[in-house]
Amino acid sequence: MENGTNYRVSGTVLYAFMPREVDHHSSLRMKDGIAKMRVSRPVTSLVFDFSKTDFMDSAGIGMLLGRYKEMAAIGGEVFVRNTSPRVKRILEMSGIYRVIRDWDRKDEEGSR
Amino acid sequence: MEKGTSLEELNNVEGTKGIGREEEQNRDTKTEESVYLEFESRSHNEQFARVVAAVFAARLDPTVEEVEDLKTAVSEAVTNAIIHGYEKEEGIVHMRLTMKGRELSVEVRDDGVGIADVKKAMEPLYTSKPSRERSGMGFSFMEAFMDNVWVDSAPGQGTTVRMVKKLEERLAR
Repeated sequence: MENGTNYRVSGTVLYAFMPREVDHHSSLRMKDGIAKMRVSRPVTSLVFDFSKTDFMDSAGIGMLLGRYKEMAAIGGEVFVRNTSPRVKRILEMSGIYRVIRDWDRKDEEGSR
Repeated sequence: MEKGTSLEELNNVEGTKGIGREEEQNRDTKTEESVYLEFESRSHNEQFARVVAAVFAARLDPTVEEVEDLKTAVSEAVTNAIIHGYEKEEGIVHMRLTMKGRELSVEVRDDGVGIADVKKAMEPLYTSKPSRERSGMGFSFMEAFMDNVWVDSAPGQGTTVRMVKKLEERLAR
Protein backbone atom coordinates (compact mmCIF):
# COMPACT_ATOMS: atom_id res chain seq x y z
CA MET A 1 0.00 0.00 0.00
CA GLU A 2 1.56 3.25 -1.09
CA ASN A 3 0.29 5.40 1.74
CA GLY A 4 0.29 2.77 4.48
CA THR A 5 2.36 2.41 7.63
CA ASN A 6 4.70 -0.50 8.20
CA TYR A 7 5.86 -1.70 11.59
CA ARG A 8 8.86 -3.58 12.88
CA VAL A 9 9.63 -4.74 16.39
CA SER A 10 13.16 -5.22 17.62
CA GLY A 11 13.38 -6.20 21.27
CA THR A 12 11.39 -3.60 23.16
CA VAL A 13 11.56 -1.06 20.34
CA LEU A 14 8.65 -0.60 17.95
CA TYR A 15 9.49 1.16 14.70
CA ALA A 16 6.62 2.75 12.80
CA PHE A 17 7.55 3.62 9.22
CA MET A 18 5.34 6.58 8.47
CA PRO A 19 3.34 7.00 5.25
CA ARG A 20 4.09 9.63 2.62
CA GLU A 21 1.41 11.90 4.04
CA VAL A 22 0.58 12.10 7.72
CA ASP A 23 -2.82 13.74 8.05
CA HIS A 24 -6.04 13.09 9.97
CA HIS A 25 -6.96 10.23 7.64
CA SER A 26 -3.69 8.32 7.93
CA SER A 27 -3.29 9.18 11.63
CA LEU A 28 -6.52 7.38 12.50
CA ARG A 29 -5.20 4.20 10.94
CA MET A 30 -1.80 4.56 12.59
CA LYS A 31 -3.33 4.88 16.03
CA ASP A 32 -5.06 1.52 15.55
CA GLY A 33 -2.01 -0.04 13.93
CA ILE A 34 0.26 0.88 16.83
CA ALA A 35 -2.27 -0.27 19.41
CA LYS A 36 -2.43 -3.69 17.68
CA MET A 37 1.35 -3.97 17.54
CA ARG A 38 1.66 -3.22 21.25
CA VAL A 39 -0.78 -5.91 22.29
CA SER A 40 1.24 -8.69 23.95
CA ARG A 41 4.55 -7.00 23.11
CA PRO A 42 6.58 -5.24 25.82
CA VAL A 43 7.31 -2.08 23.86
CA THR A 44 9.11 0.63 25.82
CA SER A 45 10.39 2.75 22.92
CA LEU A 46 8.27 3.85 20.01
CA VAL A 47 10.22 5.21 17.04
CA PHE A 48 8.44 7.08 14.24
CA ASP A 49 10.51 6.89 11.08
CA PHE A 50 9.68 9.70 8.64
CA SER A 51 11.96 8.60 5.76
CA LYS A 52 9.07 8.45 3.28
CA THR A 53 7.09 11.39 4.65
CA ASP A 54 6.87 14.68 2.80
CA PHE A 55 3.66 15.99 4.32
CA MET A 56 2.40 16.31 7.88
CA ASP A 57 -0.21 18.56 9.44
CA SER A 58 -1.49 19.17 12.96
CA ALA A 59 -3.43 15.91 12.98
CA GLY A 60 -0.08 14.12 12.87
CA ILE A 61 1.04 16.14 15.89
CA GLY A 62 -2.14 15.10 17.71
CA MET A 63 -1.44 11.47 16.93
CA LEU A 64 2.17 11.74 18.17
CA LEU A 65 1.03 13.43 21.38
CA GLY A 66 -1.52 10.67 21.91
CA ARG A 67 1.17 7.99 21.58
CA TYR A 68 3.48 10.00 23.84
CA LYS A 69 0.86 10.01 26.59
CA GLU A 70 0.38 6.25 26.28
CA MET A 71 4.10 5.54 26.35
CA ALA A 72 4.75 7.99 29.19
CA ALA A 73 2.07 6.22 31.23
CA ILE A 74 4.15 3.01 31.20
CA GLY A 75 7.47 4.80 31.61
CA GLY A 76 8.29 4.43 27.93
CA GLU A 77 9.50 6.96 25.40
CA VAL A 78 8.68 8.23 21.92
CA PHE A 79 11.23 9.15 19.27
CA VAL A 80 11.26 10.50 15.73
CA ARG A 81 13.77 9.63 13.04
CA ASN A 82 14.77 10.67 9.51
CA THR A 83 12.64 13.81 9.48
CA SER A 84 12.67 15.91 6.30
CA PRO A 85 13.17 19.67 6.75
CA ARG A 86 9.41 20.17 6.31
CA VAL A 87 8.43 17.54 8.88
CA LYS A 88 11.08 18.88 11.23
CA ARG A 89 9.68 22.38 10.89
CA ILE A 90 6.16 21.19 11.72
CA LEU A 91 7.49 19.31 14.75
CA GLU A 92 9.42 22.37 15.91
CA MET A 93 6.44 24.68 15.49
CA SER A 94 4.29 22.35 17.57
CA GLY A 95 6.73 22.34 20.49
CA ILE A 96 6.63 18.55 20.62
CA TYR A 97 10.42 18.35 20.92
CA ARG A 98 9.87 19.18 24.57
CA VAL A 99 8.66 15.61 25.10
CA ILE A 100 10.04 13.54 22.24
CA ARG A 101 13.59 13.19 20.94
CA ASP A 102 15.40 12.31 17.76
CA TRP A 103 16.31 8.61 17.87
CA ASP A 104 19.67 9.11 16.20
CA ARG A 105 20.66 11.84 18.62
CA LYS A 106 19.26 10.30 21.77
CA ASP A 107 22.70 9.69 23.27
CA GLU A 108 23.76 13.30 22.82
CA GLU A 109 23.42 15.46 25.86
CA GLY A 110 20.75 18.12 25.64
CA SER A 111 19.33 16.89 22.35
CA ARG A 112 15.86 17.16 23.76
CA MET B 1 -10.03 42.04 -19.67
CA GLU B 2 -10.64 39.22 -22.06
CA LYS B 3 -7.80 37.50 -23.74
CA GLY B 4 -7.34 38.60 -27.30
CA THR B 5 -8.45 42.20 -26.76
CA SER B 6 -5.84 44.38 -28.34
CA LEU B 7 -4.60 47.55 -26.75
CA GLU B 8 -6.07 49.49 -29.63
CA GLU B 9 -9.53 48.08 -29.10
CA LEU B 10 -9.29 48.82 -25.45
CA ASN B 11 -8.41 52.42 -26.08
CA ASN B 12 -11.29 52.81 -28.49
CA VAL B 13 -13.90 51.84 -25.97
CA GLU B 14 -15.88 54.89 -25.10
CA GLY B 15 -15.11 56.25 -21.69
CA THR B 16 -11.96 54.20 -21.35
CA LYS B 17 -8.86 56.21 -20.82
CA GLY B 18 -5.92 55.29 -22.95
CA ILE B 19 -3.58 53.07 -21.04
CA GLY B 20 0.02 52.30 -21.71
CA ARG B 21 1.42 48.88 -22.33
CA GLU B 22 2.80 48.57 -18.86
CA GLU B 23 -0.52 49.34 -17.35
CA GLU B 24 -2.22 46.91 -19.66
CA GLN B 25 0.11 44.12 -18.62
CA ASN B 26 -0.44 45.01 -15.02
CA ARG B 27 -4.16 44.82 -15.50
CA ASP B 28 -3.78 41.53 -17.29
CA THR B 29 -2.06 39.90 -14.35
CA LYS B 30 -4.86 41.03 -12.03
CA THR B 31 -7.43 38.97 -13.89
CA GLU B 32 -9.21 36.82 -11.37
CA GLU B 33 -9.47 33.11 -11.91
CA SER B 34 -11.15 30.67 -9.66
CA VAL B 35 -12.26 27.08 -9.27
CA TYR B 36 -14.98 25.82 -7.02
CA LEU B 37 -15.57 22.33 -5.79
CA GLU B 38 -17.76 20.41 -3.44
CA PHE B 39 -16.89 17.12 -1.83
CA GLU B 40 -18.19 14.80 0.88
CA SER B 41 -16.86 15.23 4.41
CA ARG B 42 -14.82 12.03 4.43
CA SER B 43 -11.29 11.96 5.71
CA HIS B 44 -9.73 10.67 2.47
CA ASN B 45 -10.90 13.90 0.80
CA GLU B 46 -8.38 15.88 2.88
CA GLN B 47 -5.70 14.63 0.52
CA PHE B 48 -7.90 15.34 -2.48
CA ALA B 49 -8.37 18.97 -1.39
CA ARG B 50 -4.62 19.45 -0.88
CA VAL B 51 -3.80 18.06 -4.30
CA VAL B 52 -6.38 20.27 -6.01
CA ALA B 53 -5.02 23.35 -4.24
CA ALA B 54 -1.45 22.47 -5.21
CA VAL B 55 -2.37 21.92 -8.86
CA PHE B 56 -4.32 25.18 -8.96
CA ALA B 57 -1.40 27.10 -7.44
CA ALA B 58 1.05 25.49 -9.88
CA ARG B 59 -0.09 27.93 -12.56
CA LEU B 60 1.65 30.68 -10.59
CA ASP B 61 4.93 28.78 -10.50
CA PRO B 62 5.16 28.86 -6.70
CA THR B 63 8.18 27.78 -4.69
CA VAL B 64 8.20 24.34 -3.13
CA GLU B 65 7.79 25.95 0.28
CA GLU B 66 4.79 28.00 -0.84
CA VAL B 67 3.10 24.85 -2.11
CA GLU B 68 3.81 23.05 1.15
CA ASP B 69 2.45 25.99 3.15
CA LEU B 70 -0.71 26.07 1.06
CA LYS B 71 -1.23 22.31 1.33
CA THR B 72 -0.85 22.39 5.09
CA ALA B 73 -3.28 25.29 5.52
CA VAL B 74 -5.86 23.67 3.22
CA SER B 75 -5.48 20.39 5.06
CA GLU B 76 -6.12 22.09 8.41
CA ALA B 77 -9.23 23.93 7.21
CA VAL B 78 -10.73 20.92 5.46
CA THR B 79 -9.98 18.60 8.39
CA ASN B 80 -11.71 21.06 10.73
CA ALA B 81 -14.77 21.09 8.47
CA ILE B 82 -14.87 17.29 8.44
CA ILE B 83 -14.19 16.66 12.14
CA HIS B 84 -15.78 19.66 13.80
CA GLY B 85 -18.25 21.07 11.29
CA TYR B 86 -19.82 17.74 10.47
CA GLU B 87 -19.01 15.86 13.65
CA LYS B 88 -22.21 13.83 13.85
CA GLU B 89 -23.27 13.70 10.23
CA GLU B 90 -21.87 13.65 6.78
CA GLY B 91 -22.08 16.83 4.78
CA ILE B 92 -20.64 18.71 1.88
CA VAL B 93 -17.43 20.72 2.12
CA HIS B 94 -17.19 23.65 -0.28
CA MET B 95 -13.85 24.93 -1.43
CA ARG B 96 -13.13 27.89 -3.66
CA LEU B 97 -9.65 28.72 -4.87
CA THR B 98 -8.99 32.10 -6.41
CA MET B 99 -5.92 33.72 -7.88
CA LYS B 100 -5.60 37.39 -8.57
CA GLY B 101 -2.19 38.37 -9.73
CA ARG B 102 0.07 36.48 -7.35
CA GLU B 103 -2.44 36.46 -4.56
CA LEU B 104 -3.99 33.12 -3.79
CA SER B 105 -7.08 32.82 -1.70
CA VAL B 106 -8.79 29.75 -0.36
CA GLU B 107 -12.26 29.61 1.04
CA VAL B 108 -13.38 26.48 2.86
CA ARG B 109 -16.99 26.33 3.96
CA ASP B 110 -19.15 23.82 5.75
CA ASP B 111 -22.82 23.91 6.68
CA GLY B 112 -22.17 22.16 9.96
CA VAL B 113 -22.54 22.97 13.64
CA GLY B 114 -20.59 26.23 13.61
CA ILE B 115 -18.40 27.74 16.32
CA ALA B 116 -19.80 29.66 19.30
CA ASP B 117 -16.54 31.36 20.28
CA VAL B 118 -14.29 31.83 17.25
CA LYS B 119 -11.63 33.68 19.23
CA LYS B 120 -11.31 30.81 21.67
CA ALA B 121 -11.30 28.22 18.89
CA MET B 122 -8.35 29.98 17.30
CA GLU B 123 -6.25 29.99 20.46
CA PRO B 124 -3.16 27.80 20.18
CA LEU B 125 -3.61 24.38 21.80
CA TYR B 126 -7.33 24.86 22.37
CA THR B 127 -9.39 21.92 21.25
CA SER B 128 -13.05 21.17 21.70
CA LYS B 129 -12.24 17.50 21.30
CA PRO B 130 -9.39 16.47 23.62
CA SER B 131 -10.51 12.84 23.46
CA ARG B 132 -10.00 12.79 19.70
CA GLU B 133 -6.25 13.42 19.87
CA ARG B 134 -6.47 16.84 18.30
CA SER B 135 -3.39 18.94 18.89
CA GLY B 136 -5.33 22.21 18.92
CA MET B 137 -2.90 23.67 16.41
CA GLY B 138 -5.03 23.77 13.29
CA PHE B 139 -5.72 27.50 13.25
CA SER B 140 -2.17 28.27 14.43
CA PHE B 141 -0.80 26.40 11.42
CA MET B 142 -3.22 28.18 9.06
CA GLU B 143 -2.08 31.52 10.43
CA ALA B 144 1.57 30.56 10.30
CA PHE B 145 1.48 29.39 6.70
CA MET B 146 -0.87 31.95 5.15
CA ASP B 147 -0.69 35.76 5.25
CA ASN B 148 -4.25 36.27 6.48
CA VAL B 149 -6.94 34.06 7.92
CA TRP B 150 -10.57 35.03 8.56
CA VAL B 151 -13.16 32.86 10.21
CA ASP B 152 -16.85 33.48 9.94
CA SER B 153 -19.04 31.23 12.04
CA ALA B 154 -21.98 31.01 14.39
CA PRO B 155 -23.72 28.07 16.07
CA GLY B 156 -25.92 26.29 13.57
CA GLN B 157 -24.73 28.53 10.75
CA GLY B 158 -21.75 26.56 9.52
CA THR B 159 -18.21 27.88 9.25
CA THR B 160 -16.33 29.70 6.53
CA VAL B 161 -12.55 29.98 6.65
CA ARG B 162 -10.92 32.36 4.20
CA MET B 163 -7.16 32.44 3.80
CA VAL B 164 -4.92 34.52 1.58
CA LYS B 165 -1.32 34.00 0.60
CA LYS B 166 0.68 36.39 -1.51
CA LEU B 167 3.20 34.43 -3.53
CA GLU B 168 6.67 35.79 -4.09
CA GLU B 169 7.31 37.52 -7.37
CA ARG B 170 9.21 35.24 -9.71
CA LEU B 171 11.57 36.29 -12.44
CA ALA B 172 10.32 35.55 -15.91
CA ARG B 173 11.12 31.99 -16.92
